[in-house]
Amino acid sequence: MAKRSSRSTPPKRTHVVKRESGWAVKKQGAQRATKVYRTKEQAVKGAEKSRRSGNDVVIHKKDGSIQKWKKSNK
Amino acid sequence: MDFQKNIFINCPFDDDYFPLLKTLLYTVKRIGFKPRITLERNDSGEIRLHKIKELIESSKYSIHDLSRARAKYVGEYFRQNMPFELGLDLGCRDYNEKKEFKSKKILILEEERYSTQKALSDLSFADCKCHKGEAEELVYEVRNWFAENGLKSVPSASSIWDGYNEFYADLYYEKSKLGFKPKDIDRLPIAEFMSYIDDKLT
Repeated sequence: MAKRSSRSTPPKRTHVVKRESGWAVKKQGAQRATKVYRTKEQAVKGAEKSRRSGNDVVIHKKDGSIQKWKKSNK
Repeated sequence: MDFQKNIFINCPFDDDYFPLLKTLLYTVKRIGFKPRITLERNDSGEIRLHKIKELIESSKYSIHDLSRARAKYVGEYFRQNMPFELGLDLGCRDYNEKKEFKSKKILILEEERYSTQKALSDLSFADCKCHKGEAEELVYEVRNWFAENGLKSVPSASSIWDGYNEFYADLYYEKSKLGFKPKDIDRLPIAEFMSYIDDKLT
């Protein structure tokens, strides 16, 4: 099995994205957010579940750029 | 040059506005238009005013962001480039007999509601759109302006905003693999950033 650091295909991602009404957790390519939280802290915590199941978690700033990229725990 | 698809972008180029500019460029391209901006090329030998006139005359649409109507600190100079270029664009539309120029569509953006009317009362007739300095809000205002001007099949603002966030993650991932640091990625020249958007949207 290839080492994680040498993987050539991008990992699946879960995004934490600003929404007018709060912060959304949204899987890459999904039409809708999994859930919208009132605060960013809650959304980041909510996204941790998908990290445990193999997704990288990409935490965005409110302007859409990247604040933090957390690799999956798998 | 495709006059019908070109859109002249007249906005601040300061560090605070840079993230909004990138969102704006993605939004315009995602809707299917070609942003024309002075930063699209950098030739020190080119006279800036000539370049601006060329961009205005080649664009049916234009977006003028007058967000810098208020000084942020005592003694800051009021930057007059944006209102000046808006004036050139209005002049091109109103004083030119060419039919295509008469069809020009102009969007005026501001960060604080009614700030343009306070700073530039000649524009009190104008229906300015306010983005509050928020990238997501900017997407909504620009997207809806295209729809209000009769464009059909415009993607929803939510899908553009989500697409922009995913696009930025792609950019971050691919550039990081090439050794770019976050600050390198966030400060990519606009011409390079636009070229990357084209790669991803085609």
